[in-house]
Amino acid sequence: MLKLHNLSKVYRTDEVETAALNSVNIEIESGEFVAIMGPSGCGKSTLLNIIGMLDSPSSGDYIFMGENVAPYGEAKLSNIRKQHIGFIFQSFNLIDELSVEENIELALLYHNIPASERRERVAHVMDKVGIAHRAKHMPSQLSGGQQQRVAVARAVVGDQAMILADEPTGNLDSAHGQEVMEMLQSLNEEGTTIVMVTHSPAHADYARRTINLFDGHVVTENLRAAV
Amino acid sequence: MFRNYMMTALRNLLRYRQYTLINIFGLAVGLAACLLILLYVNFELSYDRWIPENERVMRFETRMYDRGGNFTYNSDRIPPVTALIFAEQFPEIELYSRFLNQSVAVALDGKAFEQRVTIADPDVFELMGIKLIEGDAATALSSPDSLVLQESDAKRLFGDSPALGQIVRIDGTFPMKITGVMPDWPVASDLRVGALAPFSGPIVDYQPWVRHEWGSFWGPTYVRLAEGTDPEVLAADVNEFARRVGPADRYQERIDKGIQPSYEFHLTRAIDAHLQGDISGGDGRASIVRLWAAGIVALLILSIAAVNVANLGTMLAIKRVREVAIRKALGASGRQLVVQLLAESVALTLVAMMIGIALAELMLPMFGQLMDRALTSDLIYTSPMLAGLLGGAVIVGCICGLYPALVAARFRPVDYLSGMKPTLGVWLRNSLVILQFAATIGLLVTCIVVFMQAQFARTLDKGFQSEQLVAISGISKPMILEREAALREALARVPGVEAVAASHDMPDENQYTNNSGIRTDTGVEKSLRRVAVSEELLPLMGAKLLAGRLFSKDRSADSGVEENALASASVILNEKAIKDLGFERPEDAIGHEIYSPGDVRSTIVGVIANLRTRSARSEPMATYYWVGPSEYRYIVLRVAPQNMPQTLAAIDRTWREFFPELPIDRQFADDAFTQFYDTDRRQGWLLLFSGGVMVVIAVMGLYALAALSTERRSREIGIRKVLGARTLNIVQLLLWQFSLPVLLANLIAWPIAWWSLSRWLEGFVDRIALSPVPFLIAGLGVLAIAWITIIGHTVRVARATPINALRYE
Repeated sequence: MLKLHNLSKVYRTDEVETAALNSVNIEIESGEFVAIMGPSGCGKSTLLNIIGMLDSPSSGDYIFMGENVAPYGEAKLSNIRKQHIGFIFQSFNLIDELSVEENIELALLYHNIPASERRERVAHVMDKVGIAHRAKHMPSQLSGGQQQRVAVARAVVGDQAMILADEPTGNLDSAHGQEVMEMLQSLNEEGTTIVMVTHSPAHADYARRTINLFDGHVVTENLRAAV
Repeated sequence: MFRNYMMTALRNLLRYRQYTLINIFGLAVGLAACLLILLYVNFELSYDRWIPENERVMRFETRMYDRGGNFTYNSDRIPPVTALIFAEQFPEIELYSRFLNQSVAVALDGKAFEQRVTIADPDVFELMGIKLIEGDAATALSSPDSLVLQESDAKRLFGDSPALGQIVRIDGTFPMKITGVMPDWPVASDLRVGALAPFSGPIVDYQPWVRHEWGSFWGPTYVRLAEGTDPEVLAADVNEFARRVGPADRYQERIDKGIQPSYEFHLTRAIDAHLQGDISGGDGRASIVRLWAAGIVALLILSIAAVNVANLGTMLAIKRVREVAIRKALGASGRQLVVQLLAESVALTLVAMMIGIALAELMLPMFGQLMDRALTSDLIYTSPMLAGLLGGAVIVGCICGLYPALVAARFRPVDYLSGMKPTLGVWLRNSLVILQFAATIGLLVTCIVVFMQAQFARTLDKGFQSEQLVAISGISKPMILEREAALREALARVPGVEAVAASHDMPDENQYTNNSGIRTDTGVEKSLRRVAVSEELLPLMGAKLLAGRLFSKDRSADSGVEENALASASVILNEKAIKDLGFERPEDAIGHEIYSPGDVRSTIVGVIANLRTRSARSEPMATYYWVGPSEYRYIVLRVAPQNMPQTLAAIDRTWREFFPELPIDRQFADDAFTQFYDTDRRQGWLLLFSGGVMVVIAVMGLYALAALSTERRSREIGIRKVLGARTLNIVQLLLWQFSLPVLLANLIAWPIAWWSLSRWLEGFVDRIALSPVPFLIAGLGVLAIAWITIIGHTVRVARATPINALRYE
């Protein structure tokens, strides 16, 4: 699916250079479920942003589906992103002014899909994540777990091959957190590649592989024994 | 505590300095514009208020009625001869003075100066409260040859040497003696006064009929009434008396028939005279309606500037919820927070006020020139005005600060801590923005229509070719009139002069109107305007012949005029006259006869299209043209467009050979037309000025709102981008958000502007038809300006990487 080769990211301010990522080499196969762990400030989120093409690396190569996207500009990245990658955030990032179904539909709005098909696909994913009965509600009327389910629905409605989840359970209680993890697991079983940043070892256990980051380096990679 | 407030306030202002600047500058510009307009309005209102006892000082005016007894127009003058008689007859008239203007040449040591002379009565000094600098007011106008100069004229003529007692030659003919020097006439006066000369003097001989003619209305007459006099009762008595003794108009006959006599005197307070928009020949005047409109516009400007402050204040207060939440959590009461935010807002408006006053001072000279008024800023520094400004700033500050303060005070810290963001006031803010733009668009539409009408009036088909037409005025003076024919012959020989003629009527600020009651051989009786022309005039002006023929030098019968007759053997009528006299087609009138006063018989030989020598506000008058050298007032020349300066210089030289002591007074007809629309031009400039200020303020406000609101929406924009939105999609989204209020504003502005502009246009006889074009121009123009202002910011926001917005929530 993707391959990072000698990838570095350096943030520069007037006085200081901070290396957020330092010669990172990672390969992720299609259909994998990968967890990224590490202490605060180790570069997890930077890594996820670069994988998600929200940010560009300072050096190194990023091969996505056989294409080196590292030198691409904003417009090209945006195109690849909207076709292949879905996002789930810790703070859900739903738009307060739009209803549940409108929030989900948003992911299709920029894909030139006719309205009737959009409605169909939105209805389908709402059923899948069990939020259909809340279709007309506004985000502020939902619990955190429900909001995250909407976010998951939004991430997959465009048939994205890969989902990037940035601490998807961080704002949820354990019951709701588990619910979301199970949902991700079942998506993975259906063939979606999932890359997830998390602080919770228990939730990392859902993944087949865990990458530990420290100070911008990959320190260990563990394969789950059970699989 | 206070120090802490000061520090946070100051740091907040600096932190959001862009918005602070927009706030202060917008309010300052608004206030400056408002002050300038108020100074102008105040100046117009101050006209003639300097006259002592002005409650009792009146101008005698006349209401005119046609033969059917219908009101036609109000004239600001009465026959000069009557003033004298009324003053003798009615003890209620304490003081009176007539004011007749005449332009003369004053010669001194062989040099000639042009000088406006105002023929007045000896009471003028006491009536108008004028204290002579030199000379004795009691005797200054008692001798026929006396002349009282204004200070600046005395300086112009005599420099630093004393003027009193000097002898000058007037129009190269007779001497006059300087018997007094008075201060310059106040600029804020409806009267235009030059040097004063008595009625007994020789200048009055230029128009001797003013001494005895009851039918001759010249110059305004001002009177001071005895205390306790009711002007309406006095006017009724005067009218009753005039009908008894006045020789004109067959009064009794009309009254017997129950028809309103052709005129009726009435009195208007001198201080109101300037503001009468409905008076004939009042083009230079203001009207109270216009002043009201200007005042309303001034308040509109101030209020849209205040709306900005309130809107931005609310937005910034929301940005400060963190501070407010922490203060509240630490025990600040809602009241303390309200006081804090109000104090900040008042401080802001006070700073804006000072900058506003400075701006007004800075722009005053330019604005005064634009408005053609000698405006001063003295009014600002009077204590009531300063108190009003201070109080106003505090009130505006409170109003602008109150809403944000209440929003902040009502906001519960617990809501902030649980992550809720206040969205209060969105509805109100949007409505205010819509109203702001509605006012702006309305004013711009008005502005465009006013200029379109002015342009239309200027290019209106005048019925003649006004280009390259030069009029020399002052021909009616006896010493010129007697050599007028020779002068014309000499002028015709000047190279570059294509044709020369003489006429009674040309476009000019002095609107001379002579009327004759005439009767046709078909039995119709009408009053027609009488215009004397030389045979060459109508062809020279390019008048359009509708039927018959023009006058011709070759037909001596045309110019045959009996002794004292007011019509020549042949006359030419205009289209309007033909219609008024009941002829269906111009051809029908040819060969018919008309009888003018004294039963003088004339034949209609031609009919021409109406010649428009006056403003588009007045309808062309039914007129007959006759060959009447006794009533010539202008020599009219058509000059070749090539070598114009040389031609004009040669004309001046020729004139000087004839009248070395008389300066030539010539004007292009087109320039005179431009002057007719001075008031409209002033109005147009005022509107353009106000409209410009309003656009600047409204767009600044929109910009700040756009910036703050896109900041609020940055998370949403981030989400949309993550989901694949392109920069263009985001820009469209944001532009639409800010276009909506502007589009809605059009819906409010257009009907109101349409209604009021239709009413305004009704005041013109010839007017443009209202079309959607100016409305679209104003609406789209404002939209375009708004877009240009916010597009840079929008693109910047739309191109930013979405990560930051998404992470730090």
